[in-house]
Amino acid sequence: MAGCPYGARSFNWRDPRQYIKNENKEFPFRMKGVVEKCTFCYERLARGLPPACVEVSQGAIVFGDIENPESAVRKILSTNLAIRRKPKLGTNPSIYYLL
Amino acid sequence: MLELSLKGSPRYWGWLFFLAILIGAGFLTYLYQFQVGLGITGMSRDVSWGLYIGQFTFLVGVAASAVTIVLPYYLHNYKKYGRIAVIGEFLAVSSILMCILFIFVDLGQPTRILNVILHPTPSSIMFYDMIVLNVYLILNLLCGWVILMSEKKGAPPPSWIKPFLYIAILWAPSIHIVTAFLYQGLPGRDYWMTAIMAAKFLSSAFASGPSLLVILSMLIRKFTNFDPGKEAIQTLAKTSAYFLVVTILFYLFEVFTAFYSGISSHQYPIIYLFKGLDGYSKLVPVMSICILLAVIGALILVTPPLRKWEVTLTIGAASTFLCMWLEKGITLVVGGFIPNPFGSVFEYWPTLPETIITIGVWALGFFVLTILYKIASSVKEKAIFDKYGEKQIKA
Repeated sequence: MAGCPYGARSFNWRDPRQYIKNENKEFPFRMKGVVEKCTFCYERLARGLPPACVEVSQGAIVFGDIENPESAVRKILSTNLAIRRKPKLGTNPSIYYLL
Repeated sequence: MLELSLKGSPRYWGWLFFLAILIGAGFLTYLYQFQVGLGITGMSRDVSWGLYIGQFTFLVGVAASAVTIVLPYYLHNYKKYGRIAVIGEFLAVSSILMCILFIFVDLGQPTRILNVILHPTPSSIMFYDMIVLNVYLILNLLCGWVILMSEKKGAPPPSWIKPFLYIAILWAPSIHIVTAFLYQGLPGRDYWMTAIMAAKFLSSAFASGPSLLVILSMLIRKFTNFDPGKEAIQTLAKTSAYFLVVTILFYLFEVFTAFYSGISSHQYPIIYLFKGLDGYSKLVPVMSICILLAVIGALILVTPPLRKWEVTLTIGAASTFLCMWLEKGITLVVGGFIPNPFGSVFEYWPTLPETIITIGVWALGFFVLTILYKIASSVKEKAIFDKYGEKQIKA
């Protein structure tokens, strides 16, 4: 938690389910007292679906394999200027923000 | 020797009973925390360490400071510390006990505590901290107990204990260096990410520990017939004085680096603590009291007549101890999290349940300390003369 320089991790200070009105039983939830972070919805990726945020962003977020020269992310990065948060810390962040 | 703790005055039992009530209150509140989760504390996504980790950090220093007695005594044969070596070692024992408990109450899933051993993570500093703290606990309990036992029998200490004494001296700084590494190795926390952190941890530890030992020695002299010795108390006060001055200097080095370089991310936590940031200033009063106490403590302990007069000495030692407690036990930890990685301020203040649990852990530490000191003072009262033939009971 304290070590993450991006504020990307959160902690379940209480049981998270009490704050969720409609629980989606298809995907696992985590208990109180553990750390959470974005996993790019790997359960959805395993089914061939994009991460939930990508789906609802209507094209504002592009997700894919940067190693693959044919991928959508690779193409969009080659045409736009992009920045990453705190690259000098050496964490090699793989989220790019288009300018 | 444990039986010595079972005979005491009504005041002794009353004190233990009072502590037991505080421990009970802390324990019941902990059960509530166990049920609901750490959400009952003031900690949040942005400030994920609070009072618990602050107390842990501070008390590791108090524990390490036992070395300020045992090093002059065992390495330099400073005889005046012969009587109080065990006082320092037993303080270390109870401090480490509190440290371990403060880590325990900060765990989100306490039932998984053994995973630190069952599934060790050698890349984590916490893994090493667990090792050094536990070894230090055992070393101090062993050394203090064995030497007190030989004093009780009126025999010289067994020779096999010697290597353990020397290991304990080497081990003491390690516990606090490793604890500093928990902070100074974190990227993106500019208030902590400085190489002087470990040095400042050691210096503030050697200011806070001896100042507490000054007060404890005077209490022991007041409530028992054992006399830790005027000269020993004075030397402790001197140790505390110089390390307090060094700590203040180290802090000023930090301030210089942050402000002369002009790097704003280094300045924000300091501005937050001393002046407030973006209109948030909950810790400014705490920091102001801290500065005031540092000035009082340093003035009294450095000035010989004020240090020698026991009324001012008590005020100076208490100021030093409280100052270091506010700095390390609260502001250092919280200040490091402000502002958050997005540049905004989210403040922390402990909640009532969190405070009760904290008091409960302190009470447990003092419960153990009282029993250990009761045993030590009873042995020393009966031995009458210390190892060097000087009377160690009140005339």
